[in-house]
Amino acid sequence: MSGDAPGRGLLTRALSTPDPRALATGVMALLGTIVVVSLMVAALGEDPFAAIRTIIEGSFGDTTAFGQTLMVAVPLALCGAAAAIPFTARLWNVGAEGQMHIGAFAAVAVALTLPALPGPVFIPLILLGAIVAGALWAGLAGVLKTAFGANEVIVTLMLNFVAILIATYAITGIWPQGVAPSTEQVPDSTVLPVVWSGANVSLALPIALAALVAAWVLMSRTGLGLQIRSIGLNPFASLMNGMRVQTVTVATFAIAGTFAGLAGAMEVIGENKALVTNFSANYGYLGIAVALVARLAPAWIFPSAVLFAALQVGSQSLPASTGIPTSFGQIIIAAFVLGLLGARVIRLRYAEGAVQ
Amino acid sequence: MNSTIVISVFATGIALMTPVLWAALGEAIAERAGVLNIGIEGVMLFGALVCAWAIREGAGIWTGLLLAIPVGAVLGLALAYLWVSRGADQIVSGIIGATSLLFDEFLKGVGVVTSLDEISIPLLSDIPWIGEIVFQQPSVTYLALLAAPLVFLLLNRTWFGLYIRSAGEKPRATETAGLSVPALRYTAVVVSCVLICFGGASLIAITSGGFVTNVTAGQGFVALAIVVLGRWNPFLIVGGALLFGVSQALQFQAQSLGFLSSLPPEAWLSLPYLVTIVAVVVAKSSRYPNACGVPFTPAGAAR
Amino acid sequence: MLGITKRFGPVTACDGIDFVLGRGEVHCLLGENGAGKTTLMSILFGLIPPDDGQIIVDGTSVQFGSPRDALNHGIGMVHQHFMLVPEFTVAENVVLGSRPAWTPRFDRAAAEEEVREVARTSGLEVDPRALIRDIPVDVQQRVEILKLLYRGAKVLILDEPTASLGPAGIKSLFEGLATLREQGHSAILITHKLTEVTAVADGVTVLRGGRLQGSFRQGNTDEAELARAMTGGDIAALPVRRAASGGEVVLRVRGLTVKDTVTGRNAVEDLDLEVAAGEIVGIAGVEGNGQRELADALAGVLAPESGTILLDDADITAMPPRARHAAGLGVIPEDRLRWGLVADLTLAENLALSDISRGGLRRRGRLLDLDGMQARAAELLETYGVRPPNPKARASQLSGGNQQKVVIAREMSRQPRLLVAAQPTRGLDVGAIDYVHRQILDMRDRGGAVLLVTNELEELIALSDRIAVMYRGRFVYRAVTADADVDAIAMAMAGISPEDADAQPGAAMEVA
Repeated sequence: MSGDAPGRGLLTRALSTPDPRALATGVMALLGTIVVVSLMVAALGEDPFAAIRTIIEGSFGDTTAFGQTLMVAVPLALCGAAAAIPFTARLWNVGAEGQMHIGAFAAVAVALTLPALPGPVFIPLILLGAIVAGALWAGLAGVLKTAFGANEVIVTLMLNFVAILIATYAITGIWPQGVAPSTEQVPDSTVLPVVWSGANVSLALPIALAALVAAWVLMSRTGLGLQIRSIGLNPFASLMNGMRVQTVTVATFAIAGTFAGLAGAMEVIGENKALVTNFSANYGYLGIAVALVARLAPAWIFPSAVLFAALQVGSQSLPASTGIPTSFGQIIIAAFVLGLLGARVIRLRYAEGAVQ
Repeated sequence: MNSTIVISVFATGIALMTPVLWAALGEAIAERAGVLNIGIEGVMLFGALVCAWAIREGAGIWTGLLLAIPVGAVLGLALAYLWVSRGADQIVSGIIGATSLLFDEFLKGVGVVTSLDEISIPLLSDIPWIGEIVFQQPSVTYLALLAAPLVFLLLNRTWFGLYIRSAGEKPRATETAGLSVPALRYTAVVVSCVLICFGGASLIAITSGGFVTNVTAGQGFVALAIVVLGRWNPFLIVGGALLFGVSQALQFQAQSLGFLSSLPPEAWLSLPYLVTIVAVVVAKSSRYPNACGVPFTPAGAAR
Repeated sequence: MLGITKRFGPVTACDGIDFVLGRGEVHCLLGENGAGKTTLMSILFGLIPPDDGQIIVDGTSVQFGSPRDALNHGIGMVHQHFMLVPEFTVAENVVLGSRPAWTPRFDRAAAEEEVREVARTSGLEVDPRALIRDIPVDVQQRVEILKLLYRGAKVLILDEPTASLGPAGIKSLFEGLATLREQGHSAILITHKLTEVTAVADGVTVLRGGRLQGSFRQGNTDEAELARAMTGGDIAALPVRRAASGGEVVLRVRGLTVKDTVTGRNAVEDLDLEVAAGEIVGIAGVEGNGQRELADALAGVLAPESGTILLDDADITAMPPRARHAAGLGVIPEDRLRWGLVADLTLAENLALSDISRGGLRRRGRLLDLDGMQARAAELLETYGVRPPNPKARASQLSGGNQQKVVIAREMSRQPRLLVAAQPTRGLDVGAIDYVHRQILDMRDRGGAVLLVTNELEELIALSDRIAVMYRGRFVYRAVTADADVDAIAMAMAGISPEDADAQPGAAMEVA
């Protein structure tokens, strides 16, 4: 690139993808969800306003809470990209959860097997290992789809369970750490440095943001991105116009895997400093919701992820201050997304007759 | 490998396939009508939860199982509203519905210790091998095996079956024949969810493990694969479900298989999922009903 | 039907139309595309409700909420795109919807017997046990009519019933209608072909732009009057044909065999074909005789079983579309919204699809040259007269004719050596048809080779230098256009070779 850095014009254009009316309907759906959920809370005999206040304060109330929300938004956003990019090609990658676990496995493997290296060398190596592992794992689903016509929804879901078991084996069998449900700790040099100490925000945030910018450039500024969009809207015309539909399919899955794999790695070399059982609070699946609320537009994935992260983080304070269980955050998310789908804010276009 | 182990693996396999079989039969009905019911995992989970809850409240296993029927119907109505009336994308909403209904902590620790007793069928259970494998099973398993031919008859020998299949192949033709595609799909989704929910409940009734977080462990999605493998034919679906059940049963016998016992337990746990992937790959030539997964807008509706 | 009005947003599809049909009458509803014919009939058989006006059946005013209501009053419609379930048998399709859904037992054998009976009494022979996807188009049409008769319909609405039929199929359809008329049934034919009106109609109603242009009785009018009523003027003359220049051979097809992906049968069988530079070769045939598969195999989206395709002596048989484009192939696909355009992408993106596939339009690094894309698109849209000439408009916002212009612009901009044009004027209005014809002739005059696939006989004869007729995957008739005989072409399309034409007219129809 020469002198012209992405300026305001570019940013405005990037963010203008969803049309304002859809945004308005989305806000309405959010408000509607809040009302419905408030009624549910009231039915449980709790004060809904207190619950809402708790969620907001727990997620945005102070620097620590905000930092925590941002750190949860990191894997959510990356998994959101891992869903949004294939969804744009009408490829149903619901395997971000597994791709993230494989990324985490690769990260811990690199961190624990290589000899000690300085951080600036070691960390990129670990991330690279995770990205490659995630891409291969996701690419497998792409290959099975193109070569055998295997339904990618089923394959990616099944691979999730296998990947989680592989990660579990790393914890129980390969690098166990006593009775703790985690692997041995990774070397200190590999841990991502904190960049905003007040909020305990690590280097993971800028890395994730850079990855999302890359996703945006990919989808709107490259030939591959145009091919992904074109194939999603009409695979027949795309084929007739000379696109390598199968190659693009595999590539799309692999690209999705890089994002999820990166998310997994950064969970390992982040605060946990190890591969920990249940490190993912369903980030991979929630990423689907993140992608849908962003209407598959890369520029909107991070804001969408912050919204979900806030619900997730904020609802953790619920049991302490009210009698509501933490999982209420999950229910809010489900109600919100289903509401958006029902309100037709999120609608995907298909070419006539393109079923699978 | 001696005969005891073989018998044990198959007998356990048949019992373990029960929930998946129920779910796959239900799924086949929905897909034949043109609705890809990916909410299947969530509906199963709901069934398991309801059953576990009923048992904990002291209502008994059968009350729990029967309670899953109306619960399944209600879930079916809700999903049908979303898919049929609102035209929401079946794949994405199904996935969201399924995965967000995991309800994690909310439901943790609904423990159950009882399970359905196995019933030996007189005479038949005395047949060597077959008798021990097939005819000493819990009642829900017999019911599931009985349900397969019934679903086959429903799909192929009733007018309703003919109509929903046409709605799954070419809904526009169904409509011009004077039938209501939405009504057919609503009914199919409700029936489908009742079977799936019952399957989820049977999971609790058979395994007695109680309700733990994510107890279905992807079995709903496995059922999706079995439907493809069984080519939407209830009889072939039984075969697919058995394959899954047996691959799951192997882990319980793994320790007695000598040289294989050195494999880590995770390998055995992942076997059913790997088998499912292989099954989907092998079933490559399967053709979904033409209109499966495509929302239908009746003509004359607001454009 | 009195004063029927229907609006779709700002468009008034039907504006106060009166329509009268007598018992035992075959009535043609005549008009160009977009004249409101289909909308009017969809209202009559209950698919869409009218905004205004009333329907009177046998002296009683009725309101139809659904096709089922209309059918209860004896009115049923055969759509241009058949409403048959391909995976079902004939009998299953016919009885579909005839019983309430809660009727318990579906007896397939009994249904087949009933259908056989209706087929016999109406004189429309079919095999009730055949799968729809296995039977030819004209038989499928019979099944559609049987569906209505089985349900007791007295009034049959047929939407463009001859569009996909060959001459023999049309003949047998008209004979069938005559039989039904004798039995007291009425029929409405929606059409834009004048010849059909004179062939079968007792009465004619003409629509244009959603308004009634007049009603006529057979014998009280002539084709010229109807044509004027339909078009609002005289029909434009077809472009004049120029003598072929006879250059070197550009396309050489040898022993090409292509399988039908659905049925697994050979759709194209052992076909030889040559197209020279500066020549238009027209392929005619009744739909479903392998022309589509031939075009798809040439385009590279359907792999042939055997045979070779040479383009300028380069073997492109195994090449994907991308490489064929580079080798000099341009394609106007039959279904432009399925194979030609991505409706929800912009015109600039649609125009760039082929270049992008081959890694073109890149700027520094691997990023797309978006400005270049826009500029090139604006230029092409201007050159090819696309309305609106806005590169940022989505393809779905354009009319059919303008969409076709975008396809032509993209394909021509590659300056192909060979253009494969499949049904290039289907669904277009008169002005757009003329435009497409001129583009094809220009391509030929510039020394390009054109393979034209069409089932419009007029188009075939007007444009082609040489003609070949396909029947069941083979060429059964070839001629230089100047020497061609229209009757022979028509018979060849029906599978009748000149020798046995006199002996057994219509014999091929029975071979299903």
